[in-house]
Amino acid sequence: MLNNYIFKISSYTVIFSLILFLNDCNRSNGIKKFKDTSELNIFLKSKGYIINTYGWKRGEAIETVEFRKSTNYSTGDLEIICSIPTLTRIKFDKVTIPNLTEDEMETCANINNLKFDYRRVILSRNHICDISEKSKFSKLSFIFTETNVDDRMLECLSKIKNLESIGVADKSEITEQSICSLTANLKSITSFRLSEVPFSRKALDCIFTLPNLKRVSLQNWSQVPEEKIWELVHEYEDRHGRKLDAIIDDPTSIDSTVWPKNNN
Amino acid sequence: MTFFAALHGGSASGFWAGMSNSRRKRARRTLPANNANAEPLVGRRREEEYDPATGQMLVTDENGNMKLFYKDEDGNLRVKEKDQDGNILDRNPNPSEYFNEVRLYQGYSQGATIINVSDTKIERDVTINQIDGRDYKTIKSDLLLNMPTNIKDSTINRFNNEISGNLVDVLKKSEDTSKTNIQKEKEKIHKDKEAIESWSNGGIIKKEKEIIARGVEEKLNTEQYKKLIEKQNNIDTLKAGLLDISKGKSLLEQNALKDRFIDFGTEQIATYSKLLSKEVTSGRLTKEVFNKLVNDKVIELDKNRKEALKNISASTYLKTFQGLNEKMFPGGKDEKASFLTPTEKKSTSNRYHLGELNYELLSTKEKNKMDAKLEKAGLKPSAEVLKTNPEIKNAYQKLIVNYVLKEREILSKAQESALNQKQIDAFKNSAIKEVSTQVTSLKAREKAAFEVKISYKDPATGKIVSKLVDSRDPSLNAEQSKLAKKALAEKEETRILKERDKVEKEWKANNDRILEQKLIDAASEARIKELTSYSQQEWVDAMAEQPDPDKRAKMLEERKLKEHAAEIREIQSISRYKIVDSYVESADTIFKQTKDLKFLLSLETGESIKSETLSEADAAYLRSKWCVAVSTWNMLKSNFGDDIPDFIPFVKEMHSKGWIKNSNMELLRVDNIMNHYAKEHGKGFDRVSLQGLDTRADRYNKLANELIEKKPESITLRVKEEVDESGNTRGHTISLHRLPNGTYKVVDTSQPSINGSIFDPANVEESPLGSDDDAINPYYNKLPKAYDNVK
Repeated sequence: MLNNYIFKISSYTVIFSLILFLNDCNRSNGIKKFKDTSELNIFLKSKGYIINTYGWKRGEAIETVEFRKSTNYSTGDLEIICSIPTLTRIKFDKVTIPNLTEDEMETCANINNLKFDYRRVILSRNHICDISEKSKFSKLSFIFTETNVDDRMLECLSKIKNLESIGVADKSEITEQSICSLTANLKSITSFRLSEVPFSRKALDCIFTLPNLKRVSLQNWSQVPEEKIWELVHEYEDRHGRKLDAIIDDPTSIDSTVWPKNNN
Repeated sequence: MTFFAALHGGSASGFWAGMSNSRRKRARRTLPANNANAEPLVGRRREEEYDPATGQMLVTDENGNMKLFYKDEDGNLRVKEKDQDGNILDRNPNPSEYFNEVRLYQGYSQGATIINVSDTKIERDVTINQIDGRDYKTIKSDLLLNMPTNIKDSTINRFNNEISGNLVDVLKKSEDTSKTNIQKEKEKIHKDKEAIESWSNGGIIKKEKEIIARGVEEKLNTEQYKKLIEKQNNIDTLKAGLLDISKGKSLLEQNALKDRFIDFGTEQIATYSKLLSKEVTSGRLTKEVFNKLVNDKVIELDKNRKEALKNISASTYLKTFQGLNEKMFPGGKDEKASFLTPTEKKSTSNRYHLGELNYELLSTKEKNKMDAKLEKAGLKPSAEVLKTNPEIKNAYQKLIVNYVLKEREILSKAQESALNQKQIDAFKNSAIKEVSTQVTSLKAREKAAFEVKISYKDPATGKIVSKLVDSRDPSLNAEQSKLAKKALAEKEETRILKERDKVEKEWKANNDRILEQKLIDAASEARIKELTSYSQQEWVDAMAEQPDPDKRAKMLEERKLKEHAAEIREIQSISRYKIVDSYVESADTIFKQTKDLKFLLSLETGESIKSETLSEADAAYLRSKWCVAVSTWNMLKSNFGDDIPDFIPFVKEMHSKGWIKNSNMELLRVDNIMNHYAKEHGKGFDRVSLQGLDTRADRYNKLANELIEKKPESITLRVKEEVDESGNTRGHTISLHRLPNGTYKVVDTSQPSINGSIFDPANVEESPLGSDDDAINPYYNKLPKAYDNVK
């Protein structure tokens, strides 16, 4: 058990330094070098990045890196972050997204299985479109929660060959038409989230034409009742002969309990 | 004897002689192999076939070896099989060895199909639960594997006796329900069709377009729609009446012609040609001559017009401009005021301007733009005239101001018109959509309910013809009609059987679970008994130590308990897992099946109680209303066990005490309810707010730390709360239950992906509920508000 554990850490370190080393050779200016994950963690923490949502623990791989208000970004940071071999998600929460360098975008757009997670941020069209253009064959995912993502940004995303999953939740500026043009171009999508939208059945029909869907999250569609969406899910399941992981309902109720005085 | 042929390695066909195909199909099953021994079972499959005519069941194992089960003359179950040397053995099957086969035989012989304990179920249920280093799954499967054969057999036999016959009833009921549903659907189709046909008086499928048009017409026959149309007409009339630049231009032309005493315009040509056409009708004039005369007049007019326009006199301009300026805004400056921009309003509001926008105050950009437009339209006098004639200049500048304002008016009218038109279109489209959906749905339902494929010999050609027909079609001949009715009956039977299979599957899964629990209970009991019993020798050996027999027995028992404390604790902890698992399961099913809930629902909706089971929509409705109630009940039950009534009596009690609001099923005052039950145990309600913390991670960290510190048996968590459009705070509540290893199981009536997941306070980042990744957690972006527990 313990041996296994040590092996795990050391193998991460080996792979990790190897990749950093390769990057060093390929670029003239080179990126900052780190001895191991722990040292990298100290560096990222000192700059105010949040690792793995709750902070990094010894022995863990770095999977998520988050930008918050307190993050002190400097040019090139994302090159370091996107070179972490275990990275699966970059999250921006309530921050101004920095202007990224070509190298930063190039590195991040070509990690396989990376998810870009934007929450309560103002996006520029260039940011999304540049990343989309730089992506070659890697599988990428995008989730937008309470952002200004719009049709033109979705249009850029639809150029990513291997777009793995997409999510637009709560507020956004997209229209119903953009959903159909997105789904017409992308057959690679396996996961689709779209919630709190006033769209009609037509948008749903387009989503369910995606041939490789594995999970959908379609909550709070003001124009289409939940039973109808379930019906479409079941039809999809019948058509493809497999189960779909679906989140449709979002029941809520009132709790009018009087709070104890000392706790409120 | 037919079975000998089968047993001796030949094909099974002899065995099946005389059995109908359909029956044979339905009796075939694939099932996991015998699980009475310790061998791994994964991947082994066998098939059995039962013949109701002879009461024989032939089982073929994965190696192709066959065993034949049958009942002897005394009604005892026997099995015939070949031994290693190929000799036929005929004996009583040992229920441990033929665990599944015996139960299958019993089931088939009672006309039912029966359940089996599948090991995969155990695997699926238990994944990451750990007890003192050994995992839950190992403890459970060890207990099952090591349980004494006789106890296992008697548990299984008792259970089989308990449930035998149940399935037959369940399947019968399913068939009855399906039949009723088919009938109901037909009646509903008939009713809907009548409603739709009242729009049309025609056949529904044939005249679809017409029906939709009529339906839409009916739907649009509302005051609201009529008002919109009326408004649109008014806007359009007003818009058409506005004196735009082209009207100004034609007025200038008319004046120019008049001033040159050319009294011949477009209207006059119309009168002229009308007069002449009478001559054509009476034969005094040929068509050709008529055309020529009219044409000449048009050319003459055009020539005059060009002539007149080439040289418009200053007085004509003045007259036209004055006329236009006068007519354009009959209401004067008050009428114009509504088309002024805020800046213009401000600059014209002083005493000097008195609210009138004059030429100087108009922006240069707009002036120039309008000047160019008027010039292009021929409405601008020459530079010479403007220079020398201040009266015309003044009138022209006034005209520019008026046209700028007029164009603003036209634009606003156009916008108003477009907006109204949009509403009209939306109204129309929604009516079309609604009606088309109704018609399409009816068509599909009719097709599903009545359309069948029949094949018959065409008497003319002698060939076999296949076609789709409506079984009610009166144009079918007697033979076709008979065939169609037969096909429809078959179609309905298939539907009934499909439903029946589904019910059977559910029944089996349910009983699988019950039997598994019974086996674990029996195995636990047996093992604890074994661990705490002492031998004759131990009794004798302890005599010197404790001569009093009662005290000695107690001493030995305590010693045994101490000696095996770890294993006994392990076994006992399984029951906690079991209880918590039952909450997880009930979160999903609690709302689906009881009459009592329907009763409570009826209090709110005013509906009468129709059936015992609730529809999916009812279940979803109750789920949405009652997450607080279920979570609170789960928490109380988790804390106080049997002192808390079952869910239905619990809800009824809440209801009788007035703690559930009839109008919206809201659970009032959780504090009162919790205090009511906790008081008996000297405890009370405790709510801890998480609101002071900014991020989701901070809040879940606080929760985790407090769970580690206080170790509550169970809590409810307000996992999200938001203010809806009507200003109410609406949210969702789930419950968390402590497991013996210190982790918490999450029970959620709403999200299946979270219900049953583990929240580990020592490892929040790996717990689904703690994750902020949308692929893992449906509440990935929601802030928890507070948690309740018993203090």
